[in-house]
Amino acid sequence: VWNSRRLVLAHLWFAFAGFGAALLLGEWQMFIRSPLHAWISDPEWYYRSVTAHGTTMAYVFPALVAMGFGYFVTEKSLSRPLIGLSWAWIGFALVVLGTVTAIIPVALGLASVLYTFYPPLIGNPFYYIGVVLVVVGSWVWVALTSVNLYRWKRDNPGAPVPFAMFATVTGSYLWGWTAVGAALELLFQIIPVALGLRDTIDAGLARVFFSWTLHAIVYFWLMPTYIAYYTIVPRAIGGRLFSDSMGRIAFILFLIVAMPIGIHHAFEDPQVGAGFKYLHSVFTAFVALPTLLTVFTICASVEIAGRLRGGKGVLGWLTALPWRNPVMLGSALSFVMLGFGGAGGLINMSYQLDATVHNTQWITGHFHLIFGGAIVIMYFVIAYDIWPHLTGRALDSFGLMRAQLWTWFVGMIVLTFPWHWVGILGMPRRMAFYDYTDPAIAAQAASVTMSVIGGAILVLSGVLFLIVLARGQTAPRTEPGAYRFSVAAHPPRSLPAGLNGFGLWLGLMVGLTIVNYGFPIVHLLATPGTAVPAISVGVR
Amino acid sequence: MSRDRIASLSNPWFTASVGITAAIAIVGAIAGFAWLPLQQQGERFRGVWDAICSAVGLVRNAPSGGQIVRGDYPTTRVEIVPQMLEGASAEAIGRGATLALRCTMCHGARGLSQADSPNLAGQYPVAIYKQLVDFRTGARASAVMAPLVANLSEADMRDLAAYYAYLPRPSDQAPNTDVPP
Repeated sequence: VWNSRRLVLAHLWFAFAGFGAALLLGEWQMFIRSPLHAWISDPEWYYRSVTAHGTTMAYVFPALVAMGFGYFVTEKSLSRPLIGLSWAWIGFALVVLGTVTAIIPVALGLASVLYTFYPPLIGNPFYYIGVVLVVVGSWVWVALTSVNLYRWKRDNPGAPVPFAMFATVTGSYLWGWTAVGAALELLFQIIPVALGLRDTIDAGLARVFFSWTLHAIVYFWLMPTYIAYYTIVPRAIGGRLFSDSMGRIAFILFLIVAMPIGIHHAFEDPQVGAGFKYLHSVFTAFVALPTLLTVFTICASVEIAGRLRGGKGVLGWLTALPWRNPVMLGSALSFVMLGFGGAGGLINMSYQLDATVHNTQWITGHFHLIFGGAIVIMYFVIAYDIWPHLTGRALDSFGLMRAQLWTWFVGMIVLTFPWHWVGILGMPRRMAFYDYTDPAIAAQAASVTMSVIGGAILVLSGVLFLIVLARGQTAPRTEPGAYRFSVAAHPPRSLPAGLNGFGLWLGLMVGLTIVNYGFPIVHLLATPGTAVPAISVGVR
Repeated sequence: MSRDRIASLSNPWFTASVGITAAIAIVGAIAGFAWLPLQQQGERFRGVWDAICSAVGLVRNAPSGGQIVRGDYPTTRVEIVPQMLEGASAEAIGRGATLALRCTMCHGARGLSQADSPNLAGQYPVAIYKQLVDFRTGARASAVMAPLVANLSEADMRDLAAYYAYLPRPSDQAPNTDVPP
């Protein structure tokens, strides 16, 4: 049963090609605003590049990885052909079409509004329409995942849904609901203005809608990584998943507490009441729960592997682990970056501490460490793990894989630690030029230069990654055997309905969204005089 | 897991999950909408309801009967909007150039000052226009500029702005070497 092989490969290759191009743009941005390069004199080029980098890395790349890996998990975990293969291809085509539609106006300099849109800035309508197409394409995946689950449940009444499938469906539902905020903003606020039907926009309301998407999208990026932690890592290193139920609870908690908490992205915005900012902070703090559950479960699962391999004593199991296995190495490095990134996140979500880092390079450093570091390194691990099953060819450049993972880790640390540091010193983000001869910021020059070096290491690592995959595409044919997900120490024979279905959790997610967002949105909609003139952006 | 079974008080999953979530939301709301606002120093709420209205983001009216303090100094009257003063005609620039002859002593023959007055060449038109209006209304005080702008009309100020915006700005690449470092 394997009819989505080409589909998954198409998703992943398009994702990684876009990733490679956007990676180069990122390093170019680091370089031209560092002391190593003179002022480019036209800042528009910088914002054009940032828009392309952000749109590709934040929307297209993770959506395609989640979709491709999601189809893979659906078919392999349910052990039956994917239902709706042609629909899946239509979804993929929409994402590709949307990417091209969006990137052309960006490349022409007609939509340098950055991927977070920043109304009242308004760019070329095709940019926004392209982003909408990408989202619609990903919604096809959400629908197909759901259809596959419910057909399987109908045919296997009462049987526990395989954990990998349960987690994938959680991720798809999270994304389905998360994307609604940005979709409302684009369809009802930005696109009418971009098309010239209106010339004012309620920027405050638009920012509230975007915050609906902006935080939970991070957890959507995170989902494939978490699925890999739970379903790939224990199997790949010869261990058992410590607890199946704990994993399900962690994913369910993400569905509830990761979604309606985005107003902490609008801490400094005057249009939202302080009470709602506090309420969102409270729920943001609860994200620590599923995160710590995961850290505990995965460490316990890895310990099982270490002990099965003969590790003894309090710490002896650590040295017994297969550190030369890319999956082991990648997930350990991912955990380290998750730890640092999570610690930074605690600062961002605190109202008072956030005021000191708001709009500084700290924020850029933070999300690169979490997303580019902890999350993306697991995308590499996923690709390495499933590639032989996609190509039917061996993927055995293990030395190269280890070098790639290590360079990604080192590069990301060298990139983001100085980035955090200059943020604390007060360096603002989203600026194309810094005058390092000014004594006030001269001290930041060394840190910024260090970040450029980190970025260069990441480019090297990205090239290594694509080489490994390309070699896998040309290696001799081999029979990879059946794909297996990790097995729990106590595999579930039957599960309570709450851990086998989604009705209750989706209800809680939507209900909590209404509690946390309902009043601010209705209030802003009902308040007159909040619209401001749109400012068109673009080469004239 | 049929739908009617989920939302039922006899389903412990439902009661526990909804109960815990609601409890967190209620405690968070009491703290965020009432307790914390009332702890703020310097906020003069008239009762709990007033504090709640503030915390949810409602715009509050000024206290009734209280005195509204207005500044006894003039503030700018210029409201800058996008695309303001764009697309000046050649005639406007020409008139501006003639009017600008009286500015040359300080701001230079073509908007580049030799006297440490601000360079105006290539400046954004709204910036020039706003400063001229502010000098005229007294929002910005200057013994030098005030008599020079006293007799300028609205059209004169727009034309001056258009002229200086039209002049080429000093190159970013070649900083003015006359300025001491």
